[in-house]
Amino acid sequence: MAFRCNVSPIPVIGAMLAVVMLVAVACGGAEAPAPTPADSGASQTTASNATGTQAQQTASSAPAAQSEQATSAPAAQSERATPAVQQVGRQQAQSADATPTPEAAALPTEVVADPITLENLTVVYPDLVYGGILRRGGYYDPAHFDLLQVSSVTNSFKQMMLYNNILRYNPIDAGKTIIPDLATSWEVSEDGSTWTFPIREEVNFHDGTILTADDVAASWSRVIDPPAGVVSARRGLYTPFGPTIEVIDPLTVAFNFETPPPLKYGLNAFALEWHGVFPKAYLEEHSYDLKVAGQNAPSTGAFRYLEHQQGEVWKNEKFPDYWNKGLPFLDEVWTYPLENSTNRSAALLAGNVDYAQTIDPAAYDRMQDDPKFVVEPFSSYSFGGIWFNTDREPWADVRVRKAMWLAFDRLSAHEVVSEWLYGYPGGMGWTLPEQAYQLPQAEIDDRLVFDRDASIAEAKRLMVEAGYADGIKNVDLLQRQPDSPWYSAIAQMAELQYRSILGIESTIRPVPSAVWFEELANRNFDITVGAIASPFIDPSAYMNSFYRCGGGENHSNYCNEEFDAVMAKVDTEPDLEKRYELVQQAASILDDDPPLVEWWYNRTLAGWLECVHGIEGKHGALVHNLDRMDTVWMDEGCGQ
Amino acid sequence: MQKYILRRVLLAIPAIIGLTIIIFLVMRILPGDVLTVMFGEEGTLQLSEEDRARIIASLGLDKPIYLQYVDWLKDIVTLKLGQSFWRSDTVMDLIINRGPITLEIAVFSVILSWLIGLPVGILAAMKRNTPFDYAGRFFSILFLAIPNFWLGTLIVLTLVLTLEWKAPLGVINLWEDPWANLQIIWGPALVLGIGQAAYICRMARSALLETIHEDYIRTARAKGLAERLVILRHALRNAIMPVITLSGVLLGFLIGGSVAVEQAFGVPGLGRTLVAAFFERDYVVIQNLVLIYGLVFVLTNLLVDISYAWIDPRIRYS
Amino acid sequence: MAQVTATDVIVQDAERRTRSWVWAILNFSQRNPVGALSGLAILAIVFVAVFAPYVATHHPTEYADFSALREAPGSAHWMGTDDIGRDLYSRVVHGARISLFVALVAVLVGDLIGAAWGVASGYIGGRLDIYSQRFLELLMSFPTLILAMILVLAMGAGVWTVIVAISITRIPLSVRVIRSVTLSVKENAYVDAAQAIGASSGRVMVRHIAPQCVAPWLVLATAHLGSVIILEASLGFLGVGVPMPTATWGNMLGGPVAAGLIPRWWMVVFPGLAITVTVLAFNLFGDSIRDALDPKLRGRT
Repeated sequence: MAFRCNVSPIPVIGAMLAVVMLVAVACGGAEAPAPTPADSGASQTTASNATGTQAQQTASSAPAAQSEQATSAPAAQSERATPAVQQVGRQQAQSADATPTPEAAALPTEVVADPITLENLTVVYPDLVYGGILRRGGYYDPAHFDLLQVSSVTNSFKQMMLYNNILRYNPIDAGKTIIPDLATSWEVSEDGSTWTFPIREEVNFHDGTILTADDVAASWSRVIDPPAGVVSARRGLYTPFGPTIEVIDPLTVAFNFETPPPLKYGLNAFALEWHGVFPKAYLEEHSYDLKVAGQNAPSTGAFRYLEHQQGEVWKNEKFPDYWNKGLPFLDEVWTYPLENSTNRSAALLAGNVDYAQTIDPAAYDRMQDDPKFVVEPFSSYSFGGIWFNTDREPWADVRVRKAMWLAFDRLSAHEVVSEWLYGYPGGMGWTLPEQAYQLPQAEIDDRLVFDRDASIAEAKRLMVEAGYADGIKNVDLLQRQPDSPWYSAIAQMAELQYRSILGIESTIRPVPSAVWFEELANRNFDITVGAIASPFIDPSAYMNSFYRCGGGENHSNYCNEEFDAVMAKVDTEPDLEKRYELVQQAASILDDDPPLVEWWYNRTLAGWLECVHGIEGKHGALVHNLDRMDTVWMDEGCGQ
Repeated sequence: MQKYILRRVLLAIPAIIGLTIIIFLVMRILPGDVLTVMFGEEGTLQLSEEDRARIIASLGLDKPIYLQYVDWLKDIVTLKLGQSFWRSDTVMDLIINRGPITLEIAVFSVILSWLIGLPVGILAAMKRNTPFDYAGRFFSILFLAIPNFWLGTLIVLTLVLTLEWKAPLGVINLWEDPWANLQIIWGPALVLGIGQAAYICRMARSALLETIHEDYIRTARAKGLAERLVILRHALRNAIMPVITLSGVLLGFLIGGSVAVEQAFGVPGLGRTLVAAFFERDYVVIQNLVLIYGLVFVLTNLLVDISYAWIDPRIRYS
Repeated sequence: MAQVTATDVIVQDAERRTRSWVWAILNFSQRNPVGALSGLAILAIVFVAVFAPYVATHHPTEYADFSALREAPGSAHWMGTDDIGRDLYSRVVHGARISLFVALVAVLVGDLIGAAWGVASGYIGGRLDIYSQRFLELLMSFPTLILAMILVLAMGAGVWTVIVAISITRIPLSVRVIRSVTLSVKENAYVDAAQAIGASSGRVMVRHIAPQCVAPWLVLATAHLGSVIILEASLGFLGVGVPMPTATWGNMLGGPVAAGLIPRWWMVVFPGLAITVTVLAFNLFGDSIRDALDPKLRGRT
């Protein structure tokens, strides 16, 4: 077996890890049965022979290997008890054998293998063939083309495959480990304050120029310190640690942090799919703003932009000079912007697309019984909410917000949207399947039993106390996306409940997503219905962004000093048990002083034809793992 | 004939200029300002001064109103037609990409309406007051009452539910892949065609009934000509005139109606693009697409007039 | 014979009038059973619209049963419930209110303005006639739906703006019809006579020309009712008409179309049926009215 080992401080260990990992993957992956939630995850590592369990244990010492998923509460408990587990990847609750495993200790901080090579992939997929056009169904047209400045699937779904990142989530183990991408390895200094990345040689941009550390530094300067007029949507992930970028030599870049980020957090932050690298000259030419120039911006990804017809199709084609020789396998990837889950589901069922993302629950049930299709639920920490504009009078008052939080029937709202969206009801900061920081399931279930009458009575009492016994008139209820059935249903539900229970009379104002974001930025609404997403699943990522004062997606403009103080500790607390306690402490602050009303937490359902291979997002993988497409291939004649 | 055509064409020019003026006035003056169109009434009140100035300048709205109009006319004459506010497409791109599908739907539905409406109307007239006549009249009045977008929705849902069939996605032109293209357009063309066939059928029937009583028909009958020949050779020639006029008038319904039907079928034509632009309050696209719809309407009326004159020479000289 | 009192005369007179009125209707029904039936249907629909709160079983917007989302038609909800548990039957019933109200007001306003304009333009003639003809031709060079769409866009979506937008689309058609009637009436001798004895133009138009336009106007207006209902529904379907949560037949169809993969047939079928039945009734009635009022046009479209 041939595999590629990068120049790294301890190559031998890297090689060993890669071998073990590949064995593990090859055992199950090659003949993985059509996965169902029950056996997914397992199909990666469970060997088809009698020594399956043994193989698994062995594999667990490799970075890429993961044991079975389990989403039960005991899993979360055991995770907290065994901090070491946390070191692997980010799908913490995934790796939840009830018995702690030593695997996580093996997470390399200096040693890196390079599992995504043609040789390795041909071992995983012996029947691998080149060619074909993959047709995907998903999401609206993007409002603009700068992935840096949004956190919307409308962009990521079409554009992430055009880029490389410094590090990346391993596509063939469903993103459970982090592997190098444009960097050949990573090195974290003893005190954690300096992260050094040697950059790959001979990486071509789509325009033929060659990648240097300057390009990486210029691209990343947009992330951590964007120029005026450019919004870095995920800046908040980095700024708490005071990062600066340093170009050490033409092929080495280093990040220095004033406060060292926790290791796992840092690895995730550099593996985010959102931050592509562009030629420095191109960025300068466009004043570091790619809202328009981003559509056809040269980058380094396996695919390059081919064509975009607004509202109809977005086409990317294979980049023949891709640095990772032999990849990708598909000739072209076409993405149809299908407005809603129903359209996408119907298109997949009818054979109009080969792959569809965010399909609806009914289609999921149907495709599970159909051998023609493979369907999987993926994690994505996105949720639907009703935000309050706390810059305006009534909503600055915690009592009004709490009253509105109590008066809205969140469980029914979840039922309402379950027609179109797959997800679960929950609460801020404490529901998140497959992550270590949520409450035990029993407690979640407990919290999700509401006494409606008591809630309503309490809500009314709070309104009287706040001086709004007669309700509030002329409320501007901004609704995202006029033609989306779920936003429309929730807006109407909110309008109805707030009027009939609290006397809050609102007028629904539906605006398209592009206008919605503008209106949020301009603070131009009273309350608003919409949905947002976290770039990765870690409390520091989503809680800072959603709820912290000045957070990137804190649309209520909510500020709670107590919460911010707890979050400051969460960000840097290395001890997992302590961190868990801090997260729960922060979550309980949100329950008392709600920044918004949440009505639904998302799981993304994806489905594809069984003749499409290489989408290894088993149960629980974050949905953005699926957007790179460089390991995806199709049987000949698939989907025709 | 040439003279007549020339005169009609020259008459169309002020009509087109008038169109641009009306669209311009509706877009600029009625809403107070474009920002209200884009952000809604409550929204505009809250915009900061800088944002307001920035958006207005980026749209070229800081110029005097007549200059804005002249700018637009320049864009029209040079076929630039402006750019989408949210996206990089120019309106010309949209027309080139989506126009053919909508045009095709229109043409097919006109053909269909004649294929269905004319024979049924003629037969109904010939077999007046028979069950066939009653059935024809009933269905024609029924199809006038069924909203075309509803019929479209029912067809789409039925096909998805029973056959799991959906039209292929994206813009596929006739010359690229005729089979896929036909799959896209048959639905809207059928729904629009049936709706118009109802009108055509009613018109053909009544026009034929009227001409049947004319003297020359009686003469033809007296000659001993077979009834079928009387109808086809003599009566039809005159009865067809109002039907052609009607078809021209119907094009207005067709073009407007196609917007809702394209939406119901999810067909990537100009109509759906226009609706999307409405949702996005993309006023440059709205303004120019509405102009295109108006232009097509004016031009088809012109063609109808000319063809009318060609069939009936009396008109040319009046 | 007993003494005839004034009261008797009045009563008899009223009876005779009633009888003749009833007789006229019976006569009409006998000659035109389809017209009579459609007339009855319209009366029923109008009744439903006027007494919607009593005909409906629930409030169309305030009532929502979250424990009965998307329920199929049954005894509790005759036409089932919608996506947030509102009673579809009650929404269809109240939708009749909006649809008929919009249609009636828009047709009245639009066609009355059109009629006045048509009479003036036809009678006065000259420049007024030429310019208004040119202007109306311009309005007519927009497809109706698109004209209504940009007008609603310009004014903002709501019941009244939809009414205004739709009535504007009615004006050119009615001006055209009434103007041509006026032109032919103008040639009559009694109009010349009225002018000769010095009646003002206004008086001639109101007293002598307008009455002659009533019959064609009625034909026109009833014909417009059906198409206006479809126009309003199309605006609602496209999401640019009367906005949610107000129930209109059009906007009720706009939602379900995008709804679940397994479409709830009742959400699609009932509002559409309501539109179809209503428009069918108006069209049939319009045809019959035309036949009754204008025998010359009988059998024509």
